Amino acid sequence: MSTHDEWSDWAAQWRTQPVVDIERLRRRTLAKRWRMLAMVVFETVTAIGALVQTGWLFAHPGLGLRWKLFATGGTVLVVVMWSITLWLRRGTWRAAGSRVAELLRLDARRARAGIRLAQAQLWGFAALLVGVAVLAWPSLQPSAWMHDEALRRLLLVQIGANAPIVLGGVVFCLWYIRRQRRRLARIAQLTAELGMV
Amino acid sequence: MGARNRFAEVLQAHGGLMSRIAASYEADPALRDDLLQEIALALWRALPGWRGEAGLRTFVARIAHNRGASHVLGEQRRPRPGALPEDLPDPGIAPEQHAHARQEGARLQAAVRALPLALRQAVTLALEGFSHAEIADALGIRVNAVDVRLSRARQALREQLGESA
Repeated sequence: MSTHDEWSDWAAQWRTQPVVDIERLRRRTLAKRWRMLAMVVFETVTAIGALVQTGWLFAHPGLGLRWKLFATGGTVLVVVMWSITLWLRRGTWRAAGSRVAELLRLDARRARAGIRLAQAQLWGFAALLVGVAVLAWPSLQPSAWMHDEALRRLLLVQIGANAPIVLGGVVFCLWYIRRQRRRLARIAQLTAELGMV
Repeated sequence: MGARNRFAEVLQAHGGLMSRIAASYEADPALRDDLLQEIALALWRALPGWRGEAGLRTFVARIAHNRGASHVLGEQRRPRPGALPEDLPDPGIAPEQHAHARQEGARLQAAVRALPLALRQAVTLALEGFSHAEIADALGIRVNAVDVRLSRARQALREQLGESA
């Protein structure tokens, strides 16, 4: 069989694949676009709500300096988390009209940026822990909570509520860094496969 | 013409091409459906930027392959070379000849998925009837690189499909 005939046969076989339902695809694509927009709006409104709440807390006249500092820390954390979320989502919003080689380079840059962000987030957790420990140091002394049932309960609630969040965050960051490193290795492999090195 | 109408027209004209390119990246039907949606969404966003510097079909193919490459980065489920699936689609009540054609098509599809990315991208476009110049344009490579890739792909497909030259 000649090369031309072989390609013609394969091309004929290739087109025997099931026909896609275009109308369904169009509807689902538009619905997905709206869902993505709605998610960004929801996250933005939530972040603004959190900022307003911490701002209100900060401006409250009866609040001591310690808790004002805590409110400031909370505000910074909200802003940082929101920025990270938007940053990570950038890749899902981009137009994909450029070539595969450029796309892979872009993906590699983003994976490296993601690793740096996750590492920064780990340092952020460490700073948060140290900050909270310094602020709450007087209340953490055994002499303070040993004979104060209310304080003891408050400390237990705070530790019980926040420790899983911080621990979960640390585990997520470590998992994310590992995933991005695997992604970088895969990009290098694909780049080599495409003969671009 | 509204953006929605334009998008619907392009989908109507090139939906089949997008679907077959998605199938060359993903064997699992549900994940393939997701990938096809991702391709369609990327097309929706990229379409306003199309200025006609490349043919629309080439533009669509480039977007589909870019999304496909991103998909491969995330998760790779294509079978290993030489491991073509035995569970080919049930021909149902279709006539015997039609069933045979579908089986051959499914075998070819699996063989294409088993190719390395560079060969797979060139092959899917060749099977869609793109000229070598159009393939080069869509993939951002030289025409002689297309020749080399298609020649290697042909050899690999022959081995995969167990056909004599």
